[in-house]
Amino acid sequence: MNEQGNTVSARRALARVQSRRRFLQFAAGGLVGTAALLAACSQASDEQTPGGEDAGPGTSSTPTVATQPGGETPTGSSTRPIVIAQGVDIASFDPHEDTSTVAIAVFRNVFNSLVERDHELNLVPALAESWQTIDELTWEFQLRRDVLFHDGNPLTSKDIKFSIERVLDPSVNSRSRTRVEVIDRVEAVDDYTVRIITREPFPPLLTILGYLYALPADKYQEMGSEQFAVSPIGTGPYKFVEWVKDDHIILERFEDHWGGSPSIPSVEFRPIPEAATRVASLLAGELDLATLIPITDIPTIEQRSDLDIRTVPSTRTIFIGMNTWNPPFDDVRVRQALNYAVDVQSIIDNLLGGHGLRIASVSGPAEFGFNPNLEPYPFDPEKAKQLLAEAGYADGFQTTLDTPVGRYLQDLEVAQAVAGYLANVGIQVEVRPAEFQEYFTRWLNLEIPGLYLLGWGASTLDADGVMGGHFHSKRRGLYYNSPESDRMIEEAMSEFDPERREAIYHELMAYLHEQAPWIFLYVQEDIYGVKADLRWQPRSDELLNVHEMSWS
Amino acid sequence: MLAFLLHRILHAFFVMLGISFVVFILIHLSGDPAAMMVPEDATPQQVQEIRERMGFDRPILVQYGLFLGRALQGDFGYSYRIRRPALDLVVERIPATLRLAVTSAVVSLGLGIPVGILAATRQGSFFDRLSMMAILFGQSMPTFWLGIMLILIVSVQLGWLPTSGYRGPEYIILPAVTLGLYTSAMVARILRSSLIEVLSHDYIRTARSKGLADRTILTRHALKNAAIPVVTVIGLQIGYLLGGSVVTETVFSYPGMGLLAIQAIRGRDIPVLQAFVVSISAVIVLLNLLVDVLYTYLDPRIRY
Repeated sequence: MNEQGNTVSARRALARVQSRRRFLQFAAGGLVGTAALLAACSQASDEQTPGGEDAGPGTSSTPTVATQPGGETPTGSSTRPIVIAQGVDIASFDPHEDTSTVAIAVFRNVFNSLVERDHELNLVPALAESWQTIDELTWEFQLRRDVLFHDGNPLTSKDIKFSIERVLDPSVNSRSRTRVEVIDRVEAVDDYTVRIITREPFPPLLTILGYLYALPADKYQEMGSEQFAVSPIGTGPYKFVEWVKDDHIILERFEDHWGGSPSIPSVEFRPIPEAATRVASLLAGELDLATLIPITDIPTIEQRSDLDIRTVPSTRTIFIGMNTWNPPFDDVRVRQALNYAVDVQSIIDNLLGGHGLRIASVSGPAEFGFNPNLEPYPFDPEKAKQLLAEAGYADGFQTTLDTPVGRYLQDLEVAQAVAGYLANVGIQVEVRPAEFQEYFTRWLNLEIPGLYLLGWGASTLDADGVMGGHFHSKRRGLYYNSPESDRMIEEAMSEFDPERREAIYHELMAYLHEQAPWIFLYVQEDIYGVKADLRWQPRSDELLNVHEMSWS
Repeated sequence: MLAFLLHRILHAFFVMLGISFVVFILIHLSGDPAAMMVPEDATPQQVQEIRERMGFDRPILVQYGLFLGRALQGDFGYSYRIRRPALDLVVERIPATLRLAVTSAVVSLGLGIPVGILAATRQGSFFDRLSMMAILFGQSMPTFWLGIMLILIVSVQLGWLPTSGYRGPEYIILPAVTLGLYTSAMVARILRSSLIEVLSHDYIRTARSKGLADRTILTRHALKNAAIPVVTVIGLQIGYLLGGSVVTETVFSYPGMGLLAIQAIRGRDIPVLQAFVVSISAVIVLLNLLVDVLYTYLDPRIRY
């Protein structure tokens, strides 16, 4: 949704109203329609972008002993605050209540988890300084002893137990629960030792701990959830000052932060839904950092000596899926032919201004399990025609390509370009654009007959996300699954040794590359506009950790 | 008059009923709400669980009946996204949107009435032709485009006003101009043609021939009679200023009902969306009623 997605912009004003009666009819349907149009035009993922939400830890998930927390923290102090604009406001300041990317980007400044990801997305100790597995179900964490909440009280295991079990409690109906349901319970062994017990063996446990923030148990209960949701207390590098809904959030440096006091004294987050306005505010000097800059605005910003464009490959993979149960896509030769038929690099260069990274299989390099040895299918229309002929489709065939509009960068344009390439090898494709929600409902109901364009970001940055979400028969392999993929997915999920686990995923990705259930396209880049003197490189997981920023 | 009022109120009730039905059905046809309430990577079981818990698995007419029963008591349910009563969220935003609508109306009347009068009294003059062109321009510019252009020129190039948000009176100027310009063009055009027509009537000639000053003729005799179509338009335009602020509020990140509605649509926040559309429709239906009553004051010949 997140962010999502999408962005939204309305090019047409509300229809003119000629008569009062018509206006009434219009009030019912028209408002909804216009708004949907609005929503459709904005660039991809402005708002909730469930796929790309947050990043659990990922690279290696075995117990290690803590090194220093948190990536490179800039040194030196400054008096200049920073103003950051995202596409939407948060829904709640209770960090387990809003799971959208924009909200997590704010929350990560105020709250901490047991383990977090550093700038390179490596899993690093945060509130937990070390951990070990006691048995297949039990994980034991040692907490840092120097962690203070913003109200001055120390963090203990009681707070961790409270925070996690509150999310798990079905009566709380937490929005974060579906993601951490694998956790059965939490035990406080002593003040600084907690055990997390899972319902089943779950090797990537650390990757979901990023969804769980440490809240102050006593204070939370004293304040009640409603009060806490508007004046939160955490352990993060910035403490809450003020939140005026849909206008701004102000946070201020927390001097007693366990990771050291950050360089920038305070931060203001502003929601500016319309991308063109976000860019204008940046140009007018009202902002220091703006997210989701449209590709068309890049040259305007680059012209200015006081502003910079900074980009980073995101964790969102864009691909064309196929309904492999229906002919002709049940034939692997046809699926491979489609991959040979599309000039992906040219699409990236021409439609995305080069802001995409080509991929050869089902995940991007930010994810654990990514197989760097696979080469993308080369652009080879002759080979495609030959494969189609072998499969008995020498004269091509007709099919459909469903695509959301305004959900991902240039989504409809990319779908049309793909259709054009397929036409060159004799496949007549009808592109059927739709509003994302309506489209995604059909997708979930297995109602896509032919091809579909979709974006996917594993929220845990672990290959299991995409595997379970697309290729396992009992989980959600709606449009493709096979006994081989089932076997490897299950094997990876019972393997605790990260190296052996990674090897299984490498094999699985090579298998899927061969099977070609998708036309593999690219990983989208996130584009930020910033003041040139801001020292900061964007993160692939879309976090905006202000303690990683400083002024030069 | 009383019978008329009762009839109109009954009529309004059925209009509201129709609106609520259409809105409810349209929203539910546009995608499975349950699937939108969980992350994209949720399993089918998790989606099904939500569907059952929220009652989305029941027949749509049953769902509509339940919705209507609660809505009649002012209960539109809880916002999925913010977890507060949906109607409260909408009502909270009314002052901000009203402030914008009123400011826009001031812009629109302050600009539209003088231009309309001047153009009508100097029919065929250079000013008249110029203002007609400006009116055409004002009416054909999409709000979205106009808003962005104003931001780029006034805020980015000239640096006179802030681009977006609301933290003080200066923040309302650009959105109010954006929203008001379209209606001011409408007001000016309607007033001009209405006034031209009135000014050609015999009683105006009589007034003139008995030596009344032009100003007196205009204010005493012509304007009141020319006002009827303008009042109709203004009544309609207030509805536009409230509902049409969806686009303007989004462009300027102005925290009113329109911005809330957009967020509700993006976040699939059905209760908030329903509360918004029904509230706006109620206001428009009410305004129509008021306009009808106002007619009888302006034109004694109109009797119900």
